[in-house]
Amino acid sequence: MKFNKLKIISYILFIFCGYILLISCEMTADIQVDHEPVLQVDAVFYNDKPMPVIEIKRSFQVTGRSPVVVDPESLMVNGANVTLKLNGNLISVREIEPGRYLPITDLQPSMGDRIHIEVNWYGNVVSAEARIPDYPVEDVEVTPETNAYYSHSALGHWVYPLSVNIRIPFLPELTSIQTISDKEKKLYKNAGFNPNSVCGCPWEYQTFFKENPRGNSLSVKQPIWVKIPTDDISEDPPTAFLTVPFSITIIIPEPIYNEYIRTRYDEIGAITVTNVDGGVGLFMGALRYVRNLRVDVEVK
Amino acid sequence: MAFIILILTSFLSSGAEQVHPFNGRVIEYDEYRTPLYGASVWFPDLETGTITNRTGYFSFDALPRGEHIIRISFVGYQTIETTVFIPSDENPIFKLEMDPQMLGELEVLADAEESVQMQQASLSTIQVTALSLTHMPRLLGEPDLIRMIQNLPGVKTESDFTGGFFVRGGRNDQNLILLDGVPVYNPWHLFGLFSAFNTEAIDRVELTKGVFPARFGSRISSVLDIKLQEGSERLGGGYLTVSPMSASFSYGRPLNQQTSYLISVRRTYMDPFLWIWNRTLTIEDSFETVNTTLGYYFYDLNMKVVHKFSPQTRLEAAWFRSSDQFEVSGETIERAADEERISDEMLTGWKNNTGSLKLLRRSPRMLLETQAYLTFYHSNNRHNEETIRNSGSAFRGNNWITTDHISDQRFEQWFRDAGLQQHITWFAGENNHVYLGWQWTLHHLRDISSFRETEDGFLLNPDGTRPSPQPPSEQIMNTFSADSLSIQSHIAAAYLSSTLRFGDLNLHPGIRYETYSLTGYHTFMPRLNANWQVTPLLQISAGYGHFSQYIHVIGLDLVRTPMDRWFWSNEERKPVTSRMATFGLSYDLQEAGTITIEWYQKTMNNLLNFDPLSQITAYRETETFPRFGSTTVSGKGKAYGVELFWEKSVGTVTGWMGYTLSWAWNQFSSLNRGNRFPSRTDKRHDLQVFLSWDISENWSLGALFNYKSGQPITFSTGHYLHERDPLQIGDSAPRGPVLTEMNAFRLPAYHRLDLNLAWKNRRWFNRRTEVSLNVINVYNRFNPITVISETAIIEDRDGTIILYPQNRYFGQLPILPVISLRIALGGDAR
Repeated sequence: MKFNKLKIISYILFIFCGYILLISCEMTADIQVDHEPVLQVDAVFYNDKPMPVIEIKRSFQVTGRSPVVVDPESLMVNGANVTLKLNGNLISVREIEPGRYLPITDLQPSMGDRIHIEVNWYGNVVSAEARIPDYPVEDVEVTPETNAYYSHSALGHWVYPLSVNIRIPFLPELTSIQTISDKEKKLYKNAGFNPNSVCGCPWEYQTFFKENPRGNSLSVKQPIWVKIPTDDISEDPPTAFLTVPFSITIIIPEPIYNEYIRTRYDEIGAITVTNVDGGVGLFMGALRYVRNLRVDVEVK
Repeated sequence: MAFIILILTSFLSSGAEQVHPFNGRVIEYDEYRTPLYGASVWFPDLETGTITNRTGYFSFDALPRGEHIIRISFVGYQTIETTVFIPSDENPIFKLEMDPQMLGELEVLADAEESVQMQQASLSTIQVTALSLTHMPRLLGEPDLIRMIQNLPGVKTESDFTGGFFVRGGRNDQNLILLDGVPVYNPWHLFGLFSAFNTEAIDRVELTKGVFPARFGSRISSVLDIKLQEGSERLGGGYLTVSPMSASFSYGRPLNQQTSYLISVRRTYMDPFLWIWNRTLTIEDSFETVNTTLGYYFYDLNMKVVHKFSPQTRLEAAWFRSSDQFEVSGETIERAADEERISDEMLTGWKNNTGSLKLLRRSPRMLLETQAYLTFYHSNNRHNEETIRNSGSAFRGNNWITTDHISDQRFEQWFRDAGLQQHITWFAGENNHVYLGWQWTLHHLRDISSFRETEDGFLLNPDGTRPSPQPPSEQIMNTFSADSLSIQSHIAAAYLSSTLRFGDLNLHPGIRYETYSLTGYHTFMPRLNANWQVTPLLQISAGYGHFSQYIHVIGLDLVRTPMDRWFWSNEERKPVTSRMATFGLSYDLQEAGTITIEWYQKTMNNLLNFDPLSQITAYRETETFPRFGSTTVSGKGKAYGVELFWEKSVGTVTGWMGYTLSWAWNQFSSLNRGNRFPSRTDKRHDLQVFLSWDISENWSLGALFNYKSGQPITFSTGHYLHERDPLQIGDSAPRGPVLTEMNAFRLPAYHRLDLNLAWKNRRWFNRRTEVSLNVINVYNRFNPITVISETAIIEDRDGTIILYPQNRYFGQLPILPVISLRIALGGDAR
């Protein structure tokens, strides 16, 4: 009997100690530290588009344990004093909606241009500078193959993937490339698909980081889908000679985008990537280059 | 002829009779007859002297015959001056009484040559003997000198799990750790939980936080000088210690009159327990079988042999080795997926190996120390994952693909140092010593980091069946990336310093010259310490010095890992330099102990850190270990503060209390937008209280209380709505908090009470035995190490955003009671 009592006591002690150890490892934190809101400035300036709408918002506080409901529109900052300069020249800005500021100008940024902004909202001042990257994009070599083999059928079409070899003779921090045939663009636009959506489709932008390739250039191979409508008569995919119009789009953002897209907040990586001095957000330039081509291809 | 022979004989015999050996011993005037190590034995009329060894003995091999005045002195004790006749029939024993007037100074109980040098920065130097650990509460039952060092004022840690220590705003890699004069890298077990130095083999430790002497270089924060025992106790001495974590054996004794040895070994026995535990980790059901195995072991080994060729010449040979290895492997076999197999193996480990030969030669006025050493360090980390699929895992076109996927990540580092150094101590007079020397070290560092990922597969039939015959595999993916570093460099140094006494004023000026091969960098570093005994009770000290460092370790800000990367300075990464000034007072409170107050200020330049992208991208989705690039950024730092230290070393209740009020800042142009930010060791208030109470002859109680201000970390309660895909290219930046200021948030304060209850002087196994109960974190205080934010962000259909705050603290050590056993071996076990 004595031994049993001792055994029971030992088990209880063991469970108690185990419980103590377990509850000692982790605890919900009820943090009530105030956060002073900061301004957020977002805009992307392309070399082949007009000046974009600049969005100015503010940050907000999440404390305690209760859910926080946020209406994004309530974060928009209206009535801010915005000073915008393109290569040092002042550009007028008008607030077209709360928190949305449109530069009033016909000027379109070019490669190498600098855009500077300063926002003043009730004494809260932030600033940022964007620069359109400057690369010899005309030197990009695009070499599509001339044979495409049947792969599958989808959405009433025979599909023949055609490889397009692209060589970019320079190496930015990040390069994003899309190849898409005109037909695909039209087809899926009509069907309501967003050509920029993430769907595992071949026309998705493929992103390449500087550290991945070897050497000082970037050589990639991306497919476009050549499509021939199926008909009720033939059961096998046909062989044919076609002329396929397609386009490639290369987007090269400022290097800060490389850090921005790879930021993960956890206990290890702990800093917000922004180029807005005194605030947050991404006010950056991006080089966009589109080349339209046609290729004569034999599909088999 | 006979006359000539007589004359010659008389000459020879008078020559033989002119000098005689003279030996004696100096002990404390108490019931324990405690030997006084480092006591000065001086013959004023002969202008010759020596110091006592660890057992209090001294010897002269040739003193002139006759009556001579002998003066025995030792800091904190009354000086004896008496007359002895040489030769003496028996070896005299001199008993010194404590001098209450002199108890203000820190006691010197070790190698007087180095110890006197280290004591130049008297208020900044803390001396610890292995005996002092007896009553200190021990983590997991393991007495650990480094853990004790971490509890001293001016010394901080980042967490309970941090193996290093941070001195006055400095980093862990800025401390020079010497084991019998040989630098040791990364000397930790169990991922930093305790050090690789076996306390039972250690004789004494001195930590200098302030302006350390010109003899030491290549670091900018502190010098931790560890001396091993020599096994010279006449009857041999050592301990067998058993704790839940490991067992250690340490023993030393003389082999003969000339030679003594020490050997100590410590090894964990977790591995056999884990082997048994692994048997319970196999899970099997109708769907899958999962096998997991864990393995961990560590050991460390010290060997030291001392051979005395003569009373003046001694050779020491020492060897230290430590090793840690952790493995985890698992295999999952999914029967439902037609025996799909996933195997995963991870291994991480590190080793230290040092060896040295030291020749000491002493003459009445000079001590010459020549040492050659080798140091090796190796860190090996590997993760291999293999997935063999027998069913479709991906879709291409209209077909499923089955794949074999293998990923292999490795990170290895090797260090190899070879060093040669010579130190000369010239006893210019009773009160004046001159120190000079030179050092040369060849460093070789190599590391390699690689990641390989391959995927092979073949198309299945559209209906998911296997084609027959099976087609050859097609390589779907083959990526390989690697980064390696190989550097060889050498550092040469020379120094000159002295101890000058002008009455109550002691000056310790010094100058150190260093040159570093990789950058052609060379510098003169002045060092100056001054101590003024204003009154017998009051001492004022000041110090100023320049320091340089060429080796750096950088990793994640949060934790130290074996994957932390070591760098040597080069053209881009300039040597780190530092300047420090100290000023302080020490006042003797008589029986109540000694109180010291010291102010310090330190500036550092060319500090290294990884750039933000390296830290962010160190962790990649498909890789286990962080992979740091070699791009670093440099900045500066500043630390200043005041340390208050009270120590009581006599009586049944002894102990100390330390309080530090400090600031530590860093500033990097590419971090925190170029604004300065608090260092991770910027804990404003730091309080340690240690009390040791000899309850009775057989019982003692030790209590250690720590309080520290909250750790600064990068955290914010502010959020903002990121633009997820600003370029409209299908990217998806995660939403998160506003973290634009580094280390701007403070965790809750840290406090903890540890107790040690020792039952001493038992006789078990016919040996003097001590059983101790150690309880870490007695009241189970939850001390956060960090806070993780997993705020869930839900976007409603109408565009409303709902955030569910989920912040969690992760805690440090909980309450940990442990019983350990310590068995004395040999007659002279301490």
